[in-house]
Amino acid sequence: MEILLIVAGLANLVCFIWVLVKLFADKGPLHGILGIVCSIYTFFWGWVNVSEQNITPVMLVWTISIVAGMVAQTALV
Amino acid sequence: MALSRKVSTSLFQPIVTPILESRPLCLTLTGAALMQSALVAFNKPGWICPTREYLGCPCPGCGLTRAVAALFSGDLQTMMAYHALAPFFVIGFSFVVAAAVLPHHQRQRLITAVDWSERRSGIATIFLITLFCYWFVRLVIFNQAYFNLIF
Repeated sequence: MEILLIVAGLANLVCFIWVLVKLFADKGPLHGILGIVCSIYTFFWGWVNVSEQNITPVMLVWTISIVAGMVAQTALV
Repeated sequence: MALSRKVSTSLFQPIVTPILESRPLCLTLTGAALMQSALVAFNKPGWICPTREYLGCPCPGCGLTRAVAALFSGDLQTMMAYHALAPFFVIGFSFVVAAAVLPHHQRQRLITAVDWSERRSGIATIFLITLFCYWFVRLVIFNQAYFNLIF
């Protein structure tokens, strides 16, 4: 479970940075900063603009990594 | 002159309005907030902040869910300890909830009003700057207490 948590975490972080870069490029620095503050905003902005930004695989990996992280954390608690 | 105009334009650029303009985004954010609140209320692991969890450093928004929960239960002291800016987030987020559920006409009026106030006051940018200053002070001055509280 710990390995799953580490892998999910790494994927989560990489996808977050990936989408954050897209958010900065598309919406400008203020929205990018908002995306850092509120990563949940970055996540849903990514899903809403998934076809426009062509980031379907990234968003799928991010979603799976979040669910996997939650499952692993629940199992470890 | 050109630089000051650029800075002024950036400062008064709307941040909340583009979010309100997308109803799907407002709906998903509202749903996510409800889900996160429910998970926190039942002591289940909710949304994992990538910055806090994997870089080991709390982000400027860390502690907000717990602060909002404390605010709604009337425990202002706990709210202040977790995140003093939580009430402003609640106000900002209430616009997102309203934009998700209001009928088209009222929704357009809300968006116009928020856009006008953002362009006139630069309130969202000022809030973001304040948020970063608040986070920086907590990180540098109250380092140990801040980390103990958030982790």
